[in-house]
Amino acid sequence: MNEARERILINLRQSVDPILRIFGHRSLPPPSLGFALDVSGSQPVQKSPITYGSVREMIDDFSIVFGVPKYRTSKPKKVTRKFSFTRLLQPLDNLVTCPTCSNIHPSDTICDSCYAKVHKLTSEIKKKMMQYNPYVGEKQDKEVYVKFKGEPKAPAEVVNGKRVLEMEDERPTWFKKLTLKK
Amino acid sequence: MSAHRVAASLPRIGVTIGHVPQKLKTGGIEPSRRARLEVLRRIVTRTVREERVELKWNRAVEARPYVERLIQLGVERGPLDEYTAEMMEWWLLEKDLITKMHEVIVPRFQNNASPFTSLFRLPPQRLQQFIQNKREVWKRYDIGVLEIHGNPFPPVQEESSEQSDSILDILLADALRNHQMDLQERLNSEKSK
Repeated sequence: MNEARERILINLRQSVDPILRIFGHRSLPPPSLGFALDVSGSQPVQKSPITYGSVREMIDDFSIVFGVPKYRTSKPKKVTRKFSFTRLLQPLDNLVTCPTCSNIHPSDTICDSCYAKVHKLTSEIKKKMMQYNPYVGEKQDKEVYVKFKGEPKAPAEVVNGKRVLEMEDERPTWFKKLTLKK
Repeated sequence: MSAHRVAASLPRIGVTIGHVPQKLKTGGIEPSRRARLEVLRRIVTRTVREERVELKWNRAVEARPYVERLIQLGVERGPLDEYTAEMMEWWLLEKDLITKMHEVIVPRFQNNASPFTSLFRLPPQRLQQFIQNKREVWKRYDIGVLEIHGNPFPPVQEESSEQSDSILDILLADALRNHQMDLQERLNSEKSK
């Protein structure tokens, strides 16, 4: 172990010294780097000096001084990390089929594929409904009657003073006409 | 104190009140009890304005009783009541909505009993948040749809048809109808004799 460390330090110095010589603007070779463990006295290693061919080689050689796990991670820890209850997939046992579109959804929710088209039409109607300017005193002070494209004009007792929203599209077949009362 | 007395004299609202106060976090508002009310006030205002809103499930659950109580105050006590006016003033941030409440929403429910709202839950939705350095960030949402009854929008849930699709039910209904017809025939023949 000690020998390996000595070899590394020497190799490092031999690799770093020429670079320092270039950048340091000094004619004389600089004094050795101030390592805590100066091993310049060890003769047998200096006989065969090795310089690193590439950075990769240097890193490979240095790998023993990098941060590495000190202790083995225990089996229970590994297993918990991989397969604890937060990592496991739970089966859904409350799935039902939508009677209208056969889409599968949890039983405590509404069918999302049916809701998608409701949502689309709702946003269109809402967009029309929100076309009023409260800053000039306009208010939503009337009920709303939605008239789709191609529908005949509703009689006065049906509209009954309501605000009529005229849609650009025709009434979808699934949105049945509301009962004509009041 | 007076608020407590007034609230106690009103009938119960017809919706479930959650037993756990939900954490309603919102950017720009430091979480506290007051912040909770601020968040709820925004939701109530939005619900009255739009009549059907999509919210996070826990917010919808929290806000629904407040919407319900506000409508109930209007129905039970009318616009001239002092406490109702105070509540409308505080809960509806946009003042033109107070008019909407008294002239549009409350008259709808004059002869109806609570609940005046519905809440539906959507299946968990996985929605994309943003893309950061080719990394797609998705988030899971529980969404609730809160609506005030009598709105002009298409119904969220189709009315379930009276007729059952089960073959057993159909056969049983037919058998009962046949039995009824047999009885009727027998009765008629006895009368004619």
